[in-house]
Amino acid sequence: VASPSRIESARARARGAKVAVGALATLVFGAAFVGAQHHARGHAKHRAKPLAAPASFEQAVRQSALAAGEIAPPEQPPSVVTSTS
Amino acid sequence: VSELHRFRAMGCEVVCAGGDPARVFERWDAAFSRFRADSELTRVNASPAWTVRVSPLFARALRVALDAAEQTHGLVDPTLGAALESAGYNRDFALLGDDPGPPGPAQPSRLGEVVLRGELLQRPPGLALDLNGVVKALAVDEAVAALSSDGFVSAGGDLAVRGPVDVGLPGGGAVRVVRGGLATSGVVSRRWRRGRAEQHHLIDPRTGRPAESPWAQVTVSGATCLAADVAAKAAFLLGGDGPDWLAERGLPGRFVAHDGNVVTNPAWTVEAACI
Repeated sequence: VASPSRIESARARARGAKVAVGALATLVFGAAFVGAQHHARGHAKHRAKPLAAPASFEQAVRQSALAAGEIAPPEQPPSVVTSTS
Repeated sequence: VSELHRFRAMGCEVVCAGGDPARVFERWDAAFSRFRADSELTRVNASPAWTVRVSPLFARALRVALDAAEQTHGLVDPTLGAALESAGYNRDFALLGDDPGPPGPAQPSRLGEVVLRGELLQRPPGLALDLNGVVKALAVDEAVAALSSDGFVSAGGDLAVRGPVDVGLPGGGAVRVVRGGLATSGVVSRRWRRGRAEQHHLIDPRTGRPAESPWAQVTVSGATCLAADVAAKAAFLLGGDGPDWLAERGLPGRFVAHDGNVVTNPAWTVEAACI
């Protein structure tokens, strides 16, 4: 029969081993998590931004907002007379 | 053109064919009238807060107005509400009469003090916005898109078509509007007196006073009524440089001087082949 002191020391070693395994697992998980953030394809690398058109595109659209209409010589008596605003 | 509908909205007579878009105008007027105590514009202008959350419609119109200011180098300016009040335009035009008292002080542009981020408007309390420079044209563009068949919508000097429409022009003559809009800005209507000085609603943002221009009326053809209206106002305010400014942008323009003389830029002359 093992003496109580040997049993206690064995339990202490077992507890230490469990803590070590737990810490190692946490460390491995954390390293994998960080690694995935930085290297895994499809994983968000930074905070998501709302989709928006490039500034150059928006500028082009604004400039073209003052575009011409289409007019031609009249073919009938006017249906309406434009006044002034 | 089918049967004409006529009604009053936004301080002018609206004439349309191809549908009855009265509700569209009512919605825009309810939001942007300077003379309705319950309009969103009145509420925003009266707010003592530096930052105001506005409705999506208000944000859209203000964004368009700020873009128009950028495109016209500040000539079409949404921050001239105080200048209009100072000139005496402080009630519905139908109720506006001559006044022996002098006009108030000049109120130049405060465009640089307005910031719009999404639906958050930042500006100093007391800054009076006036979006009429774009709102009526936006309403006309929306109304013509809502027509049930080919036709047109005309409100004051703002017109947009769906299908070709022959339109009579200021000072005589006519043109066929094949696509887009036609807008006329000028000082023939909406004039009043304060003291000895004649006032009108087209404010020069550089002086904060009613503009002095060699033109009585400027008519522009645009891809939309909004484009035509913004360009017509800018060309009017630019005075003698107006025809060239339009020509540089390929916009057909027709200018009627105070003496009735009509000037057209090359784009108008080529397309319309008439004055």
